[in-house]
Amino acid sequence: MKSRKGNDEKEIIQLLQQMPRLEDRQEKYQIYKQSALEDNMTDLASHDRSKFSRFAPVLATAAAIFIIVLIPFVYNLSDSHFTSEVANDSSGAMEAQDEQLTMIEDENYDALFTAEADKSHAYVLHTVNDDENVIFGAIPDEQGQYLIPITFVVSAKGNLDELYNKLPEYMEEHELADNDFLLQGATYSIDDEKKIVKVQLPQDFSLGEGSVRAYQFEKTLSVMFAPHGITKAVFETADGNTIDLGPFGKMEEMPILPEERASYKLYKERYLVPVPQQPDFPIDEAILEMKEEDTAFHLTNTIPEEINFRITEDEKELVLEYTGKAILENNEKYSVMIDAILMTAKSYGFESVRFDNIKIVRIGNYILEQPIKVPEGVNPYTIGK
Amino acid sequence: MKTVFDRLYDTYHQDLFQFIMYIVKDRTIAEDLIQEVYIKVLKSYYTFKGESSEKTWLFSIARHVTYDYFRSQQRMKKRISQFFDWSEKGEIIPDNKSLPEEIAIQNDEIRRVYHYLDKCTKDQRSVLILRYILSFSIQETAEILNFSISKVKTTQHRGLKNLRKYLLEDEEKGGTENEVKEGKR
Repeated sequence: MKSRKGNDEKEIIQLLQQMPRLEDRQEKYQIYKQSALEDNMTDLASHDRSKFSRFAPVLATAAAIFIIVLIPFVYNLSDSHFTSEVANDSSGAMEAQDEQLTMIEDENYDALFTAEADKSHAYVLHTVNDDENVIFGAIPDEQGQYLIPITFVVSAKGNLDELYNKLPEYMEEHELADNDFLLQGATYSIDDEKKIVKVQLPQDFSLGEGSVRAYQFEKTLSVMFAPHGITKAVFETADGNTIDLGPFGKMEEMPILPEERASYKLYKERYLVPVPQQPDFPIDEAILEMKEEDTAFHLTNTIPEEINFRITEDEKELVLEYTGKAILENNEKYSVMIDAILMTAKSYGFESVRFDNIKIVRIGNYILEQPIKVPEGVNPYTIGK
Repeated sequence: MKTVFDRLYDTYHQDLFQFIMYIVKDRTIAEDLIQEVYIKVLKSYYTFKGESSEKTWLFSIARHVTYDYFRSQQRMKKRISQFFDWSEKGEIIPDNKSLPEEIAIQNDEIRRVYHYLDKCTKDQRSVLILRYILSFSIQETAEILNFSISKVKTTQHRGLKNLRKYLLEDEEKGGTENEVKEGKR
């Protein structure tokens, strides 16, 4: 073998370029048949569905435009006094900020997040009232790459079993049922003491052979039950047989894994979605990652390019010191940025986030001069009101 | 849909397979994963807006499917290690993948490069495969991996450095580590 000592990268590059082609020996038709069968592409019914799905983006876009047009009016109405003061001379602006802050501090801080309007439009859920319960669900994105966590705020008391067993109803109420929920037809029974959930699956339940669906199935269970402290799922069928979980094989139970570390990004301008990170991926890089878009999968960045932070940790508090030159404004773009930062911090186990040197008192519902608690959930939907 | 599949298959299939196969190094797994790529592609073809090129879109899907497979493997390893209470991670499942024929018949250096690609991180491996084995441009690689151009360059440099380090170490040891492993196969 030639000696590589003292050689540069060129030799390695040449070796890589000489690597042989590893040919796929499968028949083309066979691959098509399998892929089409898996996706039910041969089913005529799918044509009707695809017609609808072609209109769905148009409707969603129309709704988004409506919201985008509406939001500046909402912000202007609520903050016109504050923003106009900031635009004036600095001493006047400071007085206005102080006055505003004092007014807000006098109010019950939590009350800022309890308005129903917030829950129906917000990306995150901050507080749960005494007469409400929260359950969680998740649906895969259109291309099956990411899992979209959903938080349902149910205006009724009841045990968790009953609420989870109504999940299909809640999903249907918000037209989420068509989105290939992986636990379709399941019923649940939660044992609070043992921290287990018994999941009864339909007899014909199948995940197919794909490893991605199996991975998402496992993640869906985590999203749904880890927040309740559940540590194990036990599977049952009506006929008492074990469940075939595709690549996992036949399983009787599965541990519920804690929430994965993730960078939250915006999916189709509608949902905050966790983009999973490796367990050793540092929080400052996870925050930096939020600046990256992935347009092929409809993911947009949640931290604008012009925004920079120096990131430190203070026990359970994440501290973001603003080091960018751009002046932050009270608008939806920055409000979503804070939502996404809070969720990212939550996935890393932080309990609150503090913004230093940010030079603005309020963005959306957030008062930035005090630490902000991480949210209770993401992508909230209210049920029963 | 068959027409779409035919065109995509004829244009990209062998490169897609090559990409997945060099990452997972197991023919059966690569065959499963490429099928998953087509399922996703066929499912979302009509919603693809052409914001990136068709080629980089396809490879992005292949990257996601492959990375997801690794994540599911990691979780499975974690579960096995918890079950058996083995303390050291990485020692759980031995590397028992057989060498593909096309590699087995190559000279010693090529076999070692193939072997030591495993020592690179999965991002480094993806960059090296896309850039040098598949001859993709930096721009295309950046789009597929959702990296900035500078991140591709840094990852590429680190990957090459890593590979060189292991090849050098192997050379100094007289290629023992590798030869023993290859001998077992």
